[in-house]
Amino acid sequence: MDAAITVRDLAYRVGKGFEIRDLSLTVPRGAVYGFLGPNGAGKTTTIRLLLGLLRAQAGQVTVLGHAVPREVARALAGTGYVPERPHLYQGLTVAESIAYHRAFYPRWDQRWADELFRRFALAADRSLARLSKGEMGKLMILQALGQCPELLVLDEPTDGLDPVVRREVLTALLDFVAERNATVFISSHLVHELERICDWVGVMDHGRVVAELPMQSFKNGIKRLRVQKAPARLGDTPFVLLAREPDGPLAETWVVRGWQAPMTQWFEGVGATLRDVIDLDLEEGFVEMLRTSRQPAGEVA
Amino acid sequence: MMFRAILYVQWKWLRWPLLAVTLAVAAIPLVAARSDFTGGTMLVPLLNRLESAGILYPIAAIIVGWVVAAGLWYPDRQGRRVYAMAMPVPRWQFVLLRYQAGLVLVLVPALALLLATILVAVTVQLPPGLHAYPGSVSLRFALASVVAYSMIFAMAAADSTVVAGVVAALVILMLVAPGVAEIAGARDPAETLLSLLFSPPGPFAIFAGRWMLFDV
Repeated sequence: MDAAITVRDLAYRVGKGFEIRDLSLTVPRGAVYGFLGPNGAGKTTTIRLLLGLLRAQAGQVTVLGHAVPREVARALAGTGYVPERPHLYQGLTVAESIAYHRAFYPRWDQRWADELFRRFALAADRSLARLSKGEMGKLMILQALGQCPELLVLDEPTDGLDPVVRREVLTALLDFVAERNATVFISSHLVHELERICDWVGVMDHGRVVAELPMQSFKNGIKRLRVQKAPARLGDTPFVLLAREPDGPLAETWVVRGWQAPMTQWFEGVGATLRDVIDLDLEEGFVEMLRTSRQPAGEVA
Repeated sequence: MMFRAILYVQWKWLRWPLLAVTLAVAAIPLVAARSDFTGGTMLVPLLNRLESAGILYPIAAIIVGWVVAAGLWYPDRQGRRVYAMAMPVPRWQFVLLRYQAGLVLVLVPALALLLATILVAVTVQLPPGLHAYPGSVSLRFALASVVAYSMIFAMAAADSTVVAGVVAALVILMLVAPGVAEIAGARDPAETLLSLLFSPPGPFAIFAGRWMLFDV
């Protein structure tokens, strides 16, 4: 698989409070990769490591075929980055900020930037210090898209934006991806938002990636099962049991990953009865996955 | 293209403080020679005033260097340097571009000083044997500004722990070394260091000595 981002065994530690350990992930070229995780999971730190803004203590990072941090300038030449907090120079006007940014990117597409400028209804002579949060978000997206990146790295790009602005930003993003076949790496804790736009998902918690899979597998494979007469001890299961809770006399509710319809037969084999199979949406699946990843090993089955 | 963009941005956020220091620098020779625009030349008081004003040039050069160097990185510190570090140019090249743009700005007050000293030189009638040196004073001011700017730029661009380490080492050297040297009967290393720095060909020698616009 041709990858836009490859991370292997990344380790980073700052102080005693937080560390990233053994972090590995692969973002396929052309994918819209949702990087999910609760606040404080380490998403922003991971992104900064990917872009060479922080130095990892161990591990390998490759972005667009360039090793980071050794070839970080080449990697950044093809990467549009929208950080979590506004980073542009506050003393400039919108037009000056765009002109400054454009000077660093030879592939800058003025036509596309002009179109976004009109669509976002930005005021050219407005100082960045006076922009609303939504306007600043639009400007950061405009600058990142205008440079025609092969890879877009967006760190909570719609966090705190109102629904109208959020929709405008996401629409511009999807238009760009459709037109340029760019790769998008987007971090968020807004699960519903990613569900609509992503085709891959990675889930991070407490400084490590707990799951990485195609969105379709994530959405389809996570189910809530209502089971009767389940044995106390389970042997090998054809699915991954994420959670198991009592649900009345002789009944239990299970949350499983990797579910497929033919697996019903397994229950007959162990003397249990499968009463119901319930679809979970991405948010429920995400919550269950985090809950499971936080349990001590061996507690579920 | 990148240089022009950086120069413009730096001019935009430094233009008012730079204008203020430029006017102040240009005012030094003009104020010192003020009475001589209107009437006869009172040579001795004029030379005394110019000599007194001479002490202001190195101070002004340090202020110019500080204003430009510290101001260059201020917007980046606001954004925790994320924007600068995410630019697709090698870090050394980005810092060099910043440094070069700052150099252009540092030379603005020196140019104003050159114009002011030329004005004073053509206005004052000097007796035989005395000469005006507007070019030398302005060039020296420019070099002193560049030295001050370079030092403060390096500190502003460096990691804060590195700067803290250097400052701590200097403080220890200044406070502890004289006592240790006296006990050991050796030459004070702080004094030696200062002598090396401020005597030719030390990097700060340009700040020392007399700065005279009129001299023999």
